[in-house]
Amino acid sequence: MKIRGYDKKYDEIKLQMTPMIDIVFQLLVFFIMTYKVTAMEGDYNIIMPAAASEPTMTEEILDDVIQVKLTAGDDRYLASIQVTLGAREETFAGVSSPDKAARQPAFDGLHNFVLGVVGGNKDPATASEIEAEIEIDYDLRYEDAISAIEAVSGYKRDDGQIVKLIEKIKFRNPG
Amino acid sequence: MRFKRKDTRILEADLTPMIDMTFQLIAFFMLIINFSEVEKSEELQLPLSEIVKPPESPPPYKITLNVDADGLIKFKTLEAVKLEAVRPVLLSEIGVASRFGVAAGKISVIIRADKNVRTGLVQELMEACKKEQLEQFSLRVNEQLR
Repeated sequence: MKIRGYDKKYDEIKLQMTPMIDIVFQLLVFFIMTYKVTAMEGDYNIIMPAAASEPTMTEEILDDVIQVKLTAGDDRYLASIQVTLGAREETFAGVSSPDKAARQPAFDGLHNFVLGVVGGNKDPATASEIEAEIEIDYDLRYEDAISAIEAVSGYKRDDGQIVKLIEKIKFRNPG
Repeated sequence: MRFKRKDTRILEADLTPMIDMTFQLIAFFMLIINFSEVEKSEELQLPLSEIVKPPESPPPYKITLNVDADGLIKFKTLEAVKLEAVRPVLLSEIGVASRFGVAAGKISVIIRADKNVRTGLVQELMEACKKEQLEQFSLRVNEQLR
């Protein structure tokens, strides 16, 4: 028995792929060209002191506030760091120079001071209740101010874990 | 003489795997593209720090202020202005935030300052923000890899 239509030849439907591939490659090239490999960015949270008319704690010497004073040298790099906590007062000098290694001893001194106060055996993930109040020379380069903030904030252990030291960091009102 | 018949069939390559791969690549690049980069000023050299990590959750509203090495302040794509002229920018952003129900005190001010800028200027900028009731400040730095 002959089935009607059985012999009919159907045309093969072919999709035109070329325009789609063109567009897809254009998109791909666009995304590849606009892709930028950038370093990750992170934040230090800073507390600004209350307005000058209100009483601030900066005038009194408190046992739970480390007062840090950063002094700039002639070329605006860090020259020294003065640290006060209660009756304790120490000064860490660096060499004001574009070479970071020459300034590093001052930051190390500050870091060791804070580590001695806060204690190195604490829980790495929790910051101390102690505050740091930083007074900075107007002209000091910003990178040195950040290095000082880093020195009091914490450090990275060899295993990559970040140990928090002080989280409450205040800037003293600019003079 | 006998001639061999030429095979006239069109050879077609199978494009499916290539298209699959290409779409996967496009999806990848689309996912990682970050439109918030628009707020960043690329010519700035941020200070480096080993112990910072990117914030885990975005703030409810943020104002990113870029401070270049000359002390000029740039906000989004607006022209860079001096510190004295930053107030209208802050007021306009505080107005936008309030329309989203975010009070000035809850706005996060992110300061991206060049590593060579005078720190006093950054502090003055923070003071200017504080006068407009902005209280939360973050100093942005680049993560330094060991």
